[in-house]
Amino acid sequence: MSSSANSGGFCEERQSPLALPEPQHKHRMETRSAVVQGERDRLRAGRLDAPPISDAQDSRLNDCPAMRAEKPSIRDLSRFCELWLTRHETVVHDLPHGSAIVVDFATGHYVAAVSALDAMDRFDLLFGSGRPAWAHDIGIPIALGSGLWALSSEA
Amino acid sequence: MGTVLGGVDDRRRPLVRVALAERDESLLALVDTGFNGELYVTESVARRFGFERTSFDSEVALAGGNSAKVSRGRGSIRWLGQQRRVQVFIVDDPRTHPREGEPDALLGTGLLSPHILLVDFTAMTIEIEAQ
Repeated sequence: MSSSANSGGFCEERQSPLALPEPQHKHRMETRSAVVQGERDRLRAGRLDAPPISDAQDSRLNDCPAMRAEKPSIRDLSRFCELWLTRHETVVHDLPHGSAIVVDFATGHYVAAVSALDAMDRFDLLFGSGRPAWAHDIGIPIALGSGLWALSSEA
Repeated sequence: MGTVLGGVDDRRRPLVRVALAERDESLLALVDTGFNGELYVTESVARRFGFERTSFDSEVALAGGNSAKVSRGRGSIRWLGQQRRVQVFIVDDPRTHPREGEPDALLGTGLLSPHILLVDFTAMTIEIEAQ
């Protein structure tokens, strides 16, 4: 189910079991798989030099039995959110400090890279630009101390 | 290796000019060491200076402990003698217009690291020195 795979570079597309129902989802994944494969080939050429995602990480990503078992029967929002949090923790657990992910909540796809700019570029490359998604910096939550928030209220 | 020079205004705010890549323009940025991103601008400023607003959203933690949703954008600047791509956080415009001479952006520690920032509140000068 998951299209996650280990590669020579650190930039991975990961797919959640909470993705769209088949057959629509299956068709979309088949279309994407060709794009993803091309991307992996480029990554193997060594464009990015951060540590690769390990086999252990991959096997854990591919093995979310609780979520798979629950997939057909997810009915309530709290259960859905709980599964998402579990999934998210599994995905980001061993990612390096300072790396970044972009998450497409509609399909469950994760794209991880050494920086947020790289993750955004890769996400656009894989899925096209303009697709709403959530970006997150691993270990470095963005803090905003002052400035424009104050300016906007006093101007 | 380059150096960026700036000044402290009469409101004790450290300000520098950030030159845009491939554009004969610069924006006035408030050096904000409480912000750990690179640049933070409003939507109108992003449009004015050609920063691309992406479809990616993020959450930022505010000083008071609350959080807010912002958009992520991309752009290119000339920084410390080199051209570099930057990540730009973009927030919707405030309801009121900023006053004349107000900074266009926040400049965070993402652009300061791993360099040296010297703020002299006696001479009212700033120096960012590349390392």
